[in-house]
Amino acid sequence: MSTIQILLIGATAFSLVIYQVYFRSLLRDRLIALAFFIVTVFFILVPNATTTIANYLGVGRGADLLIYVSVTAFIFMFILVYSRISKLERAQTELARYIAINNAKKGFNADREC
Amino acid sequence: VGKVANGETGKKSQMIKPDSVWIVVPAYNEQKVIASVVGSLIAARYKVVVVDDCSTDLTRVEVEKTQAHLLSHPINLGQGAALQTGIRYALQQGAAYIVTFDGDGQHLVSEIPKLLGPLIDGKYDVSLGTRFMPGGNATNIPAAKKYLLEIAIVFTRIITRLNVTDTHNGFRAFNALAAQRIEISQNHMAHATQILSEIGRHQLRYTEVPVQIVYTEYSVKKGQKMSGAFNIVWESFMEFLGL
Repeated sequence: MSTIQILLIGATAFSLVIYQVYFRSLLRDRLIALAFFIVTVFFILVPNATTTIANYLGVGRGADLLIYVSVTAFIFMFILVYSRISKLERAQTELARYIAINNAKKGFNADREC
Repeated sequence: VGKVANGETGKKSQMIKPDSVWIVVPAYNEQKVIASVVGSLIAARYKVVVVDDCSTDLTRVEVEKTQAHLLSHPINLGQGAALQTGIRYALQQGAAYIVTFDGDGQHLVSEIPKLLGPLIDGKYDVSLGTRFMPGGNATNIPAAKKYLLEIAIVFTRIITRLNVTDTHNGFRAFNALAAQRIEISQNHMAHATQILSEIGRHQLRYTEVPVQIVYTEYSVKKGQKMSGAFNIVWESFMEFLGL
């Protein structure tokens, strides 16, 4: 095993552990993360496998295929995170609005008939 | 729809009961001018609700010196959110008409009846103040800003499919029906475009009324930065995508 393979597997394993320990996600998501880890380790150990798949899909090199997949995944993640944040902002806005309206201060004599 | 309200609203506007009209004033760090803006609205016997968007200065203290109702956002959310908060409150308080009015003193209290006229006549649900129609004006608009505004107006027309002559000038009036239907979810500056889209979506009857906007040194300094234009396009695009 080359040095880079050890480093990559170490880093991947580290993120998997962080995910499993600190993120209280669904069992389903945990299993997906585990499957993702296994696939990643496989490709780290057998780099030529990516080239085989790439050729099958009509891409020259495995490294190129990885870039395409990564970019696509990044865009997908961006949309996912953006929509999650928007949802949180909407909830936060409603909460702040509720607090503001429920603590309305009527200025002195605001209801006095002039 | 979309016709100019002519000058014949003067007589009818005398029938307005000022206390059925709520003026919603969003405010963020306006301690220098807010009390005088609110004071002139109260003097005209309108009901006033100021929505303080978590100012870091003494805006709240200044508002408490007046007879306005004060709502305070516990966190800073943006002008669009402040407007929606104020509109909801005004409706809860039984407003028949709601006017949005800037807290920085660039709108004129004396022009409120002009905006309300077409609503009280029952012909329209919304009136929008415009700087760019005969009778309206915009004194001291910096040249660069004017150029950007023209682009913004074209953008607004395309996005909202409303044939408006102005955008983002914050001086508008709604009847209760329109105020209930229009839902501002754009917390930041894209709300101005969103209000127009909502008018189209709910097929509300709208008209434009020429108004004067006073660009003082203070209001220009406080007003939108030109870089805000990019944000508005971005937020509107994301809204379009449903994100």
